[in-house]
Amino acid sequence: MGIRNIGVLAASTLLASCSSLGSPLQHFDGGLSFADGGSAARDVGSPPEMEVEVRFEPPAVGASVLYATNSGAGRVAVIHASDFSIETVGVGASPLPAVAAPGRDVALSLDRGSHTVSILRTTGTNTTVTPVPIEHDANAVAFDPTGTYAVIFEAPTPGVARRNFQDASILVLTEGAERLVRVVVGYGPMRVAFDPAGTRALVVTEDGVSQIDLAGLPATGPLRAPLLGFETLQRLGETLVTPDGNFALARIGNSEIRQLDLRDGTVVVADLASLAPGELLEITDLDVLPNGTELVAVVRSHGAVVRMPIGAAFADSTGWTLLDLSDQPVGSLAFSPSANLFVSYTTDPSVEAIAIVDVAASEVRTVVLRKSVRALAISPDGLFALVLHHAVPHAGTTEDALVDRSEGYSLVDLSTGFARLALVDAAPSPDGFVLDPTSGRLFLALRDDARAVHELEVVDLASFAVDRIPLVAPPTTVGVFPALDRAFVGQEANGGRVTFYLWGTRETHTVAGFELAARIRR
Amino acid sequence: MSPKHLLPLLLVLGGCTSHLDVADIAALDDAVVVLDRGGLVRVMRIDDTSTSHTDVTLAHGDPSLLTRPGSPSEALVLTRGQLGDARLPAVPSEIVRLDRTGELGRWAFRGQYDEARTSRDGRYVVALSPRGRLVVENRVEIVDLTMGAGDANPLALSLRSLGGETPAAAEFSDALPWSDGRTLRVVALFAAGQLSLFDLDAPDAPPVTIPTTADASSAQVVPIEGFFVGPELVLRTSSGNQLLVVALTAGTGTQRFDVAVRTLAASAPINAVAIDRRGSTPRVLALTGSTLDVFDLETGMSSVVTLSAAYTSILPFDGAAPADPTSRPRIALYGATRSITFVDLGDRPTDVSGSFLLPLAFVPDAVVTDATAGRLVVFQDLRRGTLELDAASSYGRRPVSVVDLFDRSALALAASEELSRAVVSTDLGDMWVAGGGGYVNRFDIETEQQEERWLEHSAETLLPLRGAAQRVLAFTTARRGSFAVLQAGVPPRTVNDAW
Repeated sequence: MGIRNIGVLAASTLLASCSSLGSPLQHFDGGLSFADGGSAARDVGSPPEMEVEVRFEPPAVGASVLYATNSGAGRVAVIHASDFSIETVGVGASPLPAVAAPGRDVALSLDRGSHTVSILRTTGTNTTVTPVPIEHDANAVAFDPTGTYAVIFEAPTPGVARRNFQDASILVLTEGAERLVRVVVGYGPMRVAFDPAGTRALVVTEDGVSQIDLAGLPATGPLRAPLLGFETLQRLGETLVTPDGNFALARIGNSEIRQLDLRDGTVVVADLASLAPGELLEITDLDVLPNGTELVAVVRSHGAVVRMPIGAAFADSTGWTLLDLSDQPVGSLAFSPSANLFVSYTTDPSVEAIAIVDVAASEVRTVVLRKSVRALAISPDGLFALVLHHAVPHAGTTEDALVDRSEGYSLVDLSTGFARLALVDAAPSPDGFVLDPTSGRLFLALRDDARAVHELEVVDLASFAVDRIPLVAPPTTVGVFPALDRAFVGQEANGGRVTFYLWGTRETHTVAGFELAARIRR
Repeated sequence: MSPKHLLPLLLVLGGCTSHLDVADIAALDDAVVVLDRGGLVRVMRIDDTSTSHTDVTLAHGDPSLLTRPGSPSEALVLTRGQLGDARLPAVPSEIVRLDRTGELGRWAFRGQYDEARTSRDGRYVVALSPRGRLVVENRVEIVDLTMGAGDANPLALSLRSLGGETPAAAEFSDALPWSDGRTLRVVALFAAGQLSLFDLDAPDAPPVTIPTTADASSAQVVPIEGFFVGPELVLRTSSGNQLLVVALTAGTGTQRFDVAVRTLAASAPINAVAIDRRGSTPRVLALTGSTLDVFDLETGMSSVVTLSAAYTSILPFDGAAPADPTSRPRIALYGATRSITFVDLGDRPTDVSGSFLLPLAFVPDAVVTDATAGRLVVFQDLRRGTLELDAASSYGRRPVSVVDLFDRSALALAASEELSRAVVSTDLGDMWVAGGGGYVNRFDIETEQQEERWLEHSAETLLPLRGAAQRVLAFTTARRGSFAVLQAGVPPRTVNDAW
């Protein structure tokens, strides 16, 4: 798995993990789709009482507000992080969890029942709702970087058979001139990428990549988006798009990688098997460097990392750079945003170390940990790594046995290699944290319902000291409002519940009962 | 009709009596206040060897007595006033404040009210249920008993009535240090489906109105009881297993305060709530049919004690426990079942160090902790209905057991006489019981020493007085003011026809 944006954490955290563990923390996968499928999920097992069960989905984070959807009532609570005030607005009768445009106080609420999308736009203390009809099933939203467009489509959902395989819509979000343009794309859209300027939407499908010219959208649709394929009948493996939107790279079979030039449709084929003819290659990770210049492949079978320049020389193996990490943990990579270093690690439970690789200097530093690695993330400033560990059975009363069988995480200073291990009472979720340079803190939610563990860990990135904040209800979402000097943790509670952490004063402030709060008259 | 009942009637018909038509009685410091339906209140002082009295004239309208929490040496009288007509002027309701010396103050409302309630701290009286030929029902008036009568005392408030709701109760905050450097005093008026918060120092400012249900189409969720804990109001409603917590926050607009709401979810529908301020931060104790949920009000965290019986009452007390002679915060749960459960608390609000079930052979109706915190006295209620002028609810009450807190054993109390009147002295040191044949007995709860006496007539009711002497009045005829003055170590003194 490559660099992956995780829902509300996307703005602050780069996460790399080889394990796709079932997470108790629900979230919006990639910030682009609805992982929940939008079932109202009333708690029919609750004891009988007069009060209506009010269930809010984990909130989506805007620039200064949270949008929490009450699926059962068809309403969205808008929680203002600045003053903790709450308003609720009506949306469709069967809404999926609202999705917020990153960094903006705009959210979309898809309603599967009425085939509408409601645009929620918050200005000051007021949120307006603009419903727009859509003409196909949809469960996912992707916003372009400028917040001007949103692509609405049906993404694959585990365990759910799609009915809409090729219809999508472009929603133009220009205030006062909102409109929807229907687009037909390649079969089975999976995710959407954009070029940095937000002029092209790149819909990754099972057939290839459909390109939508956002700047040249017609006044009305529908239109058919040009599809560029990888010139193969084989099923595409993981498909990556470079950050500049110029290339797509797909893995075919065990060792073949195809580069599709999205500007002219040309395809070139590279085969890593040429590096070791006749040998079986085990490629465990493919990543595009954050600057988009290289594709990096981890060949765990040979303890090597291969760097392949993206572009005209992609298929030329003589231009590839081979980094020998045979004496280091190898399996997955996590890159700093500037691509000046990466961390090599393996999720093999027998390995309790990571390797920090300085790309320019080709220097490798091994950092010994006390536990094996389950997942790893690098902070947006590239200075710290968060390592989530495995808990492995180990009977006995020794310190080693205790450490092995405990859940835990390590925070690593990538410049010095200093690591701090924290043992905790619940397995940290790969989705449930924010490494936030603005506040200089790591916020990490812990949840184990069976053992009634509900907690927010706040780690000072300067001292690595840990503060533990108990939570009343199971945490669902963690995020930050950097401009407001506060973090939040959404919780699964009747009526909705969000606890804010004000890092300036280290105080907490909890809001709950969203519907009640919204109906307060002043 | 028996001759006993016939005699007063004949006296009244014959016009040869000046007895009061007693509506109610209350205890003061070495005094008793007697309310006369004829518009008089008599303060009868009970001293070592004599009695004396002061009469206070009341305004027109049915009077009723109110206690003043926090000031047990005082009593309050509400007069309902009268509506005017073509011949008679209207008379507004009044509040009269009394102690053993007589009248201390008097406040006239603007209108007539059927009901008044005193705040938990005894500072305020709120008049509810306005009466008239055409009245605005959502109005209340509030008297600040620490201030003299004036234009702003009483002050009138009107509930923001969204659907015809009328105020049913009120809760007052303390004077809170506030962000603007002044103090803030807030009153919460409860009504079906909502509560409205007013700034008592800015009564003309619109209230903050908070719904008590998330269901906008319903106004049936009624506030049952509320408690201000500093700047937070804990509210129990009829809605089930959630408590609503309304936190007062700094105002951002025209109001000096704003609110933030949150909920505390208990394990099951809540039957009773108590606030326990003995921890490092306040605890909220929520009693359900199967659990005691102990909440830390500050964090919302809770501990849950599973109960084997459904209790109705919570008694916080400081006392010992087996293997722990230190007096610590503890709780006794009782009512509606044949047992008492003790819950031992720790220093942190949600710390629960243990619970203990004490089975009983009877259903306790009341539990009183004694002065030395070493024992609990458990009463059973034998009453079938209530007895008029029984201000201390002594009639039908029988002490059944004394619980030793050190070993949590229940010492059964047996008596040769059928004891059916009982009270505990106001210092909680002695229990006084009375039975047939004029029998009375003082039982020292700590030492178990007894002091038996026989009065000329059997006591109808018992009334403990406040004051250093810890006297108890044994009324033989409460309506006429015939009673014996009981005091530890002193022979009973009889007073007849005192009113």
